Amino acid sequence: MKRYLLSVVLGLSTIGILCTYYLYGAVDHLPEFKLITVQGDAQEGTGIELNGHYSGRMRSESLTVSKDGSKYRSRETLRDEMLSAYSWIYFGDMAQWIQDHRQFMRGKDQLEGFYKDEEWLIYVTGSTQVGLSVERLNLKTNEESEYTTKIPVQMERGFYNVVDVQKIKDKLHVITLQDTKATQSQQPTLQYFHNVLNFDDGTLIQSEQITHWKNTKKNIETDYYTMYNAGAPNNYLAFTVTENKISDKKENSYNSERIATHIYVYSYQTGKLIALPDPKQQFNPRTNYYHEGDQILYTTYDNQTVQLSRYHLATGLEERDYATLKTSQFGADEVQSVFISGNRAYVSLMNGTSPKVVALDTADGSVRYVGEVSFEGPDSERAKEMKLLQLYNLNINEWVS
Amino acid sequence: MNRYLKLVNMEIHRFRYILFSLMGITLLLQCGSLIWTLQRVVSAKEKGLTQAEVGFAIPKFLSFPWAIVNTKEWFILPILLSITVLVLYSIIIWYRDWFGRSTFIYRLLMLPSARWVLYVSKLTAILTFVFSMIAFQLVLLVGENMLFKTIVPAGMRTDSTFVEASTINPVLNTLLPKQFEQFIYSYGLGIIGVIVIFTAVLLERSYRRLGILYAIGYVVVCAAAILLPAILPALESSSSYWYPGEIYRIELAICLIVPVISCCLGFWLLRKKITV
Repeated sequence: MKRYLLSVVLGLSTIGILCTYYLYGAVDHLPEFKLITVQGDAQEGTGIELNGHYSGRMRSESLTVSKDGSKYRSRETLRDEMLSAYSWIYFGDMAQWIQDHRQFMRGKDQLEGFYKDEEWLIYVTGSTQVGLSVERLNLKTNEESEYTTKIPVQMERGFYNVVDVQKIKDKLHVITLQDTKATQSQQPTLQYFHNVLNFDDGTLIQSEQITHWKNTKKNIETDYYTMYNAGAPNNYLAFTVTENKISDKKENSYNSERIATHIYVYSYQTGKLIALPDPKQQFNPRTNYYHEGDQILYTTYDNQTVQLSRYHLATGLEERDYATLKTSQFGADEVQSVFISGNRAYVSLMNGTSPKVVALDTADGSVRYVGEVSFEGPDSERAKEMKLLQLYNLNINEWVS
Repeated sequence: MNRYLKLVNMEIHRFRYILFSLMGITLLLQCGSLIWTLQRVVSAKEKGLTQAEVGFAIPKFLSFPWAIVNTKEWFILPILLSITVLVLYSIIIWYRDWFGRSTFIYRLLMLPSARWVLYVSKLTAILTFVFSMIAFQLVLLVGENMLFKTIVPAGMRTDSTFVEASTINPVLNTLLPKQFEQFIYSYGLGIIGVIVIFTAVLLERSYRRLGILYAIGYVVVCAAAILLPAILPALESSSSYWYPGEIYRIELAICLIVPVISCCLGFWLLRKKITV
């Protein structure tokens, strides 16, 4: 037995030390925070996450706080890292579709290429070489089918991307962004095209250029975007056109400032592109636009106030500041950020060192939820720990794996 | 079972001097650098010297994690040395039986027990060396923390948690993950690595010159099989055909299949192909 002493001591002490470490020593003693419901339906707080840092350690700790508690980045394992891959793709509508139609959704990641109504889930992708590839899932029969339609393009190897898909009666409408050829008066530019396909067999009925954007102002750069309007049926496609004044453009430096935003709306029914009236108020670079059904919502905010406004696309009328939120209503000092998701406007507020979240119903601006970040520990340490917590990013977590 | 324990004991006994030397080097370098750094800063603080006068940073309060950050290189160096020695020894543990005195492998292969016991005992020995070095580092950190408290007067220091100190250094953080699940992943991959190396060595011993090619090919195939699911998201420009949860399960399955195949192949080579 004596000659085995070294192996026995080595083996037993190693097991003992490692077990002790993982039973007692490996606890990081980081403070726990939680988003608690102060007012409204607690269910509204599901998925709300506040991201930031806790700076009470030598190295700042990245964390996320939700109604389930706090998740520190340093506690993540290889499994967490692998399961959160593509988390920026697999959330919102996509998360729901993946849960409902897992097989059909495989490898499909272009959110703008989806359309869903009660009968169909459709996915369209495109390239100049192949044309438009349409994959369809009949939700009633669960049958999948697909076809490809060649589309006329001006540049054989140019840029080509699907930005919106709608099914109206027996036609499939696909808006694409593609390269156009240079003309005498204009450089080659990216323009939007409206393609109409027979939904049953994919025959091309019409392909028409719907925008003719061109940049004519000196020292002004213009960017064009389409607003994502979810996969639900919609009669309109909205465009954001932003003008940025270039203040510095050299070989190694570039500075610009947004000076104006214009909204254009394309109607699938009439085939017309119209400009919405610009807000008469002074341009606010912190204005965010969202397309929801037949209205465009926009939020403006300063340190103390958040305003919700909207355009009714059917009439083109603007309903400005139909809902207003003031920080004083919630005993807060400052508005940090605002964003809209799924019929709710989420506002992140700061009350001293305590972050708060308010969820407003975008239909009428009524308050549906108020939550506050609380420290889950002794009251004597609350003030100190809250001071060390900086939460600056608000989002809704709906991802699936 | 008895034969297996005897073989494990023999392997541990053969490596004991190197193992204790590695522990000694780690102790000397880490404690030495810690004492030197702390004494220098404490002395400067006692004399009221400024950062500009001494040429190094003097924090308002000293903490154990601060001390580890400021002696980073001397903590990392012995750990890297130990890792290198243990990786090399997982190859040498086989070759020393062939090329050592009086070709010891003759006697080992002639033992009246299954030859796979030889494979498993060598694997157990390597794992014992690895985990004893980890356990030693843990004990050393506790000792170093006590050393820190002895050198730095109470008025000059702030308290910190043990994990804060062990995670502040990237190498220590990798060696001592604070989640047990991560410990299983990290050391599980390490164990798979050792098993693959063992099988590669046995391929070379079985087929000699051609065996070198087989061994290299085998290691490359195993590494590719294990790494592919993990790097798949980076290889593809956007979303993958597989969902993240499925990629994770594929990775787990591969991490089970590779060591099982490697062990089976190793046992078969030992039983049927090894010649001395």
